[in-house]
Amino acid sequence: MSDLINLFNKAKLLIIVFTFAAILLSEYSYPQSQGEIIYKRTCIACHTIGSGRLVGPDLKNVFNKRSEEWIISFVKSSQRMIKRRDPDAVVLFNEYNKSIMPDQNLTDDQIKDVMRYIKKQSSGSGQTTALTEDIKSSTGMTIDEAGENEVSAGRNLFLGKVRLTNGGPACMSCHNVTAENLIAGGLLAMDLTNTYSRLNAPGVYSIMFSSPFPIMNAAYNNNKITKDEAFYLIAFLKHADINSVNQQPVNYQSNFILMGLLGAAILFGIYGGIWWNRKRKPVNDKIFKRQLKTF
Amino acid sequence: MDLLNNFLFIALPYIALTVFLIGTIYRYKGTKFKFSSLSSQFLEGKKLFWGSVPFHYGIMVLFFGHLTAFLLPDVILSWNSSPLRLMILEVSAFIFGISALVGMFSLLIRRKTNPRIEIITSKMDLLIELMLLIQIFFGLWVAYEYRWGSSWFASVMSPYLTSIFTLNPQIDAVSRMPWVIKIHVSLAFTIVLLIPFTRLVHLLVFPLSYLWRPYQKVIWNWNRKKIRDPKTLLNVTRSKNN
Repeated sequence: MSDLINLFNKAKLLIIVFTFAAILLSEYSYPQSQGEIIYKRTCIACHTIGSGRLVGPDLKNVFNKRSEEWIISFVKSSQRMIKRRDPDAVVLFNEYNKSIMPDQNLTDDQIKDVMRYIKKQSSGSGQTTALTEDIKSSTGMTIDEAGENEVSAGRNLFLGKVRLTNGGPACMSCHNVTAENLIAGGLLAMDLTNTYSRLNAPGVYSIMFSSPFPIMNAAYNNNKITKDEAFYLIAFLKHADINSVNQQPVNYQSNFILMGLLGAAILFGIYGGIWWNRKRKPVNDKIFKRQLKTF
Repeated sequence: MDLLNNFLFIALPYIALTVFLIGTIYRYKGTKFKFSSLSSQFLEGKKLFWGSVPFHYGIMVLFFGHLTAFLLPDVILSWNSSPLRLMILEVSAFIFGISALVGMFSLLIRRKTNPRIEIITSKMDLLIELMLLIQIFFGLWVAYEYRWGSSWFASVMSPYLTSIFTLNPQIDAVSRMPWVIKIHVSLAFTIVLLIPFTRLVHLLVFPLSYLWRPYQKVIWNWNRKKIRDPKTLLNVTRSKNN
């Protein structure tokens, strides 16, 4: 009888092990295609498949409009094609407010994988977009309803006066916005003063969550911007964009150099001041003077 | 381009760190007495002061600034959360950068124009001084042209450097940086590679214990007048502890 119970327990154990193994294997047996992974990581921020234009064009049936070689070449370096005056590339560049599509570090095979995924999505009813919901704050406010408080919250997040919840760097580390009461922003990445009118809210929003720019990815991959933070930042960018006509960009660069040179001159003065009397006296000067005092 | 990026940001760092580690240990075990800055202060002092002091104070502030942003990026980001503090940090770093650049430039001029210094100058001395000069120049260029480097270093370069030390190099971001920054990063690793073969090894034997050891009074136990007389020099027995 006990043998029978042991056998039963072993069988139970085997069933559990096999079930887990089956679950694990199923994960590996039906993975996302390589093209889907790359699309969702790299393209989705700026493009949709069947949901209309975002930052860049809708990619539905893109393979019917351009040849495979053209697409591969454009994805690898759109700017190189524009510089070569490729007519289609120039038209696209102008049509999309001269927004530069970043060069993608992908192989020919990887781009073909993405095209296969786009083809599959184009033929089906699946509409692929980064945006699954309207851009609203957690209180249900839309960007058009955002007031001075929301703009101010966005400005503080942009400047870093209020840290992003998940610890990401302030936007001004790399970006500049010309606006009132704002010190100069960074110059590593593009100026965002007129981004809102170029990309609109959905474009800015999708770049914040699924950036096609590797440098931005490195900064925010592990420190995602929250939806409310994105909302406030977009409200601020919209406000800055609308008011940008009244703003005069200040040349901070020459001030920076001047401050550096002035500071360096003061620093050299300090060096000279501290060691003014060095080696003018013997090292035992103090001892010598102390001895003289005793007379 | 990919090949070049892979070489500059994966292969070069690992070659540099390996050579640095093995090379410094090997040199310390073999030629311990050369593990020094090989000071030339006895040969020339005045120009040395206006080169060495600005260079060393400048480079120390910059080195520890970079190190802090690498090891404690959150501290730098928190500090920079006030625009005024960010300005203070960036301008101060720029000032110390100018100090290091001017210092290094005068050291290089001194080395090439003073005959006493020129005679003890090796090719490696010139190479490392030239590389440091270029490195500091590029650093200042980066600070000027791509401002708020302290913030983006903490958020972009720190993860890259961490990925190198955790043996999982992530070079996507650094590969897309402007070429000035790429040169600055690559030159930094090249300088690390050259440390064991140059007088830069002295930064590894900085006499930290001097900060807390008691004062030492140096007393010569011979007659100074007698020792300075060339005629009697050979007839005097030098003290054993000197």
